[in-house]
Amino acid sequence: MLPSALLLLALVVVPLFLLVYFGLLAGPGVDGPVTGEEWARIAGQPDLYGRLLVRSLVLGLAATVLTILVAWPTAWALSRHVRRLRSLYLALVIIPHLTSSLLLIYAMYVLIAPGGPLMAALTGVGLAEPGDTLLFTRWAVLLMLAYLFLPFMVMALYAAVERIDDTVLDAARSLGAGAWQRFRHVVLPLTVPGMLAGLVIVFTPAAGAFVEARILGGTDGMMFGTLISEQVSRVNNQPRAAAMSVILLVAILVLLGGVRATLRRAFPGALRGGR
Amino acid sequence: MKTRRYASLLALALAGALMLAACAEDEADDVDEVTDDVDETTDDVDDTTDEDAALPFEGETLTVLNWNDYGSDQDYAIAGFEERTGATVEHVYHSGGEELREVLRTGGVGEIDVALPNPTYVEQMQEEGTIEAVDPDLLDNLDGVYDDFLDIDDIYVDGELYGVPWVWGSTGLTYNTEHFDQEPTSWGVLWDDEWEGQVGFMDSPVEAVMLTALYLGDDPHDPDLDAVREALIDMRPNVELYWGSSDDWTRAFTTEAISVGNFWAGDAGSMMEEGEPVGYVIPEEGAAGWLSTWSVVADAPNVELAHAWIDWMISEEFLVEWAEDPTGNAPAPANELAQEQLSEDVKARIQAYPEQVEDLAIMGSLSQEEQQAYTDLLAEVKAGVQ
Amino acid sequence: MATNTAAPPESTAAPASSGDVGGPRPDGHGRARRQRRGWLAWLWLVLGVVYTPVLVVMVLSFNASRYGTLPFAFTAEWYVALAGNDALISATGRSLVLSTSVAAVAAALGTALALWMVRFARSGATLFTALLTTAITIPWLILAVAMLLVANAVGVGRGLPLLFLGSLAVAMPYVVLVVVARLQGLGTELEQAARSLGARPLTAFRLVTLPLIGKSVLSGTLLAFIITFNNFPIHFFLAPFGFNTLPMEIYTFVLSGYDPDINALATVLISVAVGLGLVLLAVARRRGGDATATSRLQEMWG
Repeated sequence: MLPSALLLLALVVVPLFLLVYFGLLAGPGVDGPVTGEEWARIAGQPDLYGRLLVRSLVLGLAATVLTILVAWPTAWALSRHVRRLRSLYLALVIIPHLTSSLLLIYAMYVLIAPGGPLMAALTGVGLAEPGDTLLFTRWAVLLMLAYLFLPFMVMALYAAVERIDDTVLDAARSLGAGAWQRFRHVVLPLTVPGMLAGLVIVFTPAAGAFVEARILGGTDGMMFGTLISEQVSRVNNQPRAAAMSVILLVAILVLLGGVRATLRRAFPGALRGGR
Repeated sequence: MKTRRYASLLALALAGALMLAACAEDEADDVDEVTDDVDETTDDVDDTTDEDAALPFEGETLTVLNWNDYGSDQDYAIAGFEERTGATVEHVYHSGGEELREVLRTGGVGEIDVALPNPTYVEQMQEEGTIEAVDPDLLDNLDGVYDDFLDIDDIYVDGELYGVPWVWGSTGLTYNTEHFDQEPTSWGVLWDDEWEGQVGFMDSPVEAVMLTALYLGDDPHDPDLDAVREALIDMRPNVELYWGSSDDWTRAFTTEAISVGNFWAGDAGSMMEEGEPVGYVIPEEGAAGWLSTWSVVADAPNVELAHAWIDWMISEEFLVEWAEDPTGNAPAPANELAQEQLSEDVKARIQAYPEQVEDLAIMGSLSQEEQQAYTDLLAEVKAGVQ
Repeated sequence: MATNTAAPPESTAAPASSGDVGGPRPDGHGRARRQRRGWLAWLWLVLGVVYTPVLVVMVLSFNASRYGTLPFAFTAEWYVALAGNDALISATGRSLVLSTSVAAVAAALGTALALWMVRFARSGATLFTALLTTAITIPWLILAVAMLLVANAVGVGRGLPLLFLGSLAVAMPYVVLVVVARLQGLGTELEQAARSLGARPLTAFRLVTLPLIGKSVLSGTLLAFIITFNNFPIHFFLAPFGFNTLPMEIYTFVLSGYDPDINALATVLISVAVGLGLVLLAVARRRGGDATATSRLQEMWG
């Protein structure tokens, strides 16, 4: 217990709290005096930091919604319409993600590059002009994030759908509920906890992403995380990286809390009985 | 060798677990031990060099810190050096100036002999104590280096030479000859509405600021940053791509996603040779120029060998062989004797035209504050701040 | 994109079919089969989307063109090039050694912590649960930056010990969650029965509990391996100079220009992943280890 506790304390908890302190120092290293100048600089450029923060949060949320839209029916199909080969299908969804995510980002780069297979196909059917490209846009980043985190959402929703007892549905039917009513009032609320779990494991890393934007985002796909990583790897301004990390983390937690409260209001009761 | 490294890593992994239980204090000692070992080997080195065998550095190892695939790791570069000195060459790669500095700060000093920092960083690195002065008397080939480059202040600190000019290049106006009826002569085309969504602009704070300052008629080494920011924001609708590597540019250019922009001379020359419709020009306002310089790393395990390496790198033999290698991606040599031996075709491919140098604003050293300001500025532009 | 817009109508149709599956009725048999086919078609569509980028890279790894242009001309030269690409091969080796060692230590520490949390901890378990969820839900970028800055402040800086410990701190909580989920479903009756038959505590654990949780320990270990192998932000910020892991090497490749031998590497790795995936499948046949981990998460956040 002791080593595990020490490990988590020394490498997760303490560093996270120290980020707040580091952010107050005068750069470039983390040995300067406390001045708070980096916070002043960040606050002085709301146009830059605010914009990127909003973009990161919106991209994260959009990616989450996109994965829910794809993963929900997938989880349902897996749970209700596949019997013997269920785990095979589930494994097939997950397997590409057992390699490196960088490899998948690279694969997406190749797929959507100008003149690449996707663009060639779209040009072929007249949907795009030669020279058009999805690469280097925020759509590419969104697509990538949704692609990367889809399996997490499928697993979370699959676990939730799997728990829905068929007798509940039969009961709703016998009470005269139509297909839409059964979905809206029975099935959907029962999967809200799954969606919440999915939200946490998809939104958090997606909003904190930086490599995806760095490689695929180009001109207008820059994210808050990209700027954080540049503070460390390009200009070596460690206090600013710390301050920005704190901002991003707080923003993510606030937004997660907000979404949870909203869902709780939209589906009263759904979150009380987790099982 | 390789398997031993893995084994030691595995041992280290297990040690890591044990260390956790025993608290992480001992780590610093380990590091000291390693450096002690290195010191011992350097002592040995001095002994052997005094004896002066047929090959002066037989059995020694030189560690080079450089970009991947940037001349020094070509087979003939290493073979040529090993033939002359008997030493073995090992490379450590980095992917940018900041990373180079960090590598040296975090353990590279004392392990690495030579590095190729951008002159932009020379002064800061001297202050950090990660590079040391070069002894010009040990570099016979320094005579061939253009005076234009040796006159640049930024490679000196307190009158001592810290960076030895190796190769140079310019970042000029590059355009698709099929899309332009006549050669553009001003950076103004990048701001011209006609090229909306057609510009490829380099994702480099220093280049962006210098180019814009030149366009605005300002001092490229000390411009009015507000005016530069405004101009770059004006240009943004034209920019399709802020390119980060030669590959980025080439892919976008060959698929006609971009038609014009700022691009490296040598890479533009390679594209011309491959038959792409590429035009390259130094506009009337001038262009940013860059210089790659070799430095000796502070506390280098083998200072003499490091000088021998730099002397080999700037020699005409190596620079000519590199320039003539069609897949070598060589920029123009900073050694006049090497440049004179090149054929016209090779000169065109690597854009080895020293007469351009006077039109260039060579990137100089920047303070930490300037660097931060430039980086913030380009980040604002890229993020779409109005 | 088209697949995404198709999703909402599909999902609203979900409950209509669910009843039919609950108990197949003779009268609705044809309709049920048609619906089932529709759902399977959706599954295949999703799989198609998931595998498109991967398959493109696999096909291109056999294409002669350097820039992935058509027409397709078969070649194996990129595999030959890969065999000679020391940078990629040694990076793969480093990644494998790092992930294996981290996974092994994470398995030991994680299983011990899980046992302690379920068997002995009273109030401590809640604290640990909070700790573990924090570790899992903080973006890796932020964790990596935080660890690096602390290391810089202490004066240690980047290095192998930091890389190893950082990876371990990220991976271990996943092992704990997977094993805790299994332990909670297990109860202590069997172990107590063994004890009452005279087995010492350690023997009872080794003979009874360990075999029962073995599968979940194994899937937790695999999870830790995958996470460490994948954790680019941690590698990027904590690895010492010259120690490029595979994700770092790919990052440099993509940003600074690459040769198609990376396609060949991708093909090899994905083929290995399929093999590994099938092993995982066999291990988790009865009880999806990952699914229980997420449902565990669900309880914590729900």
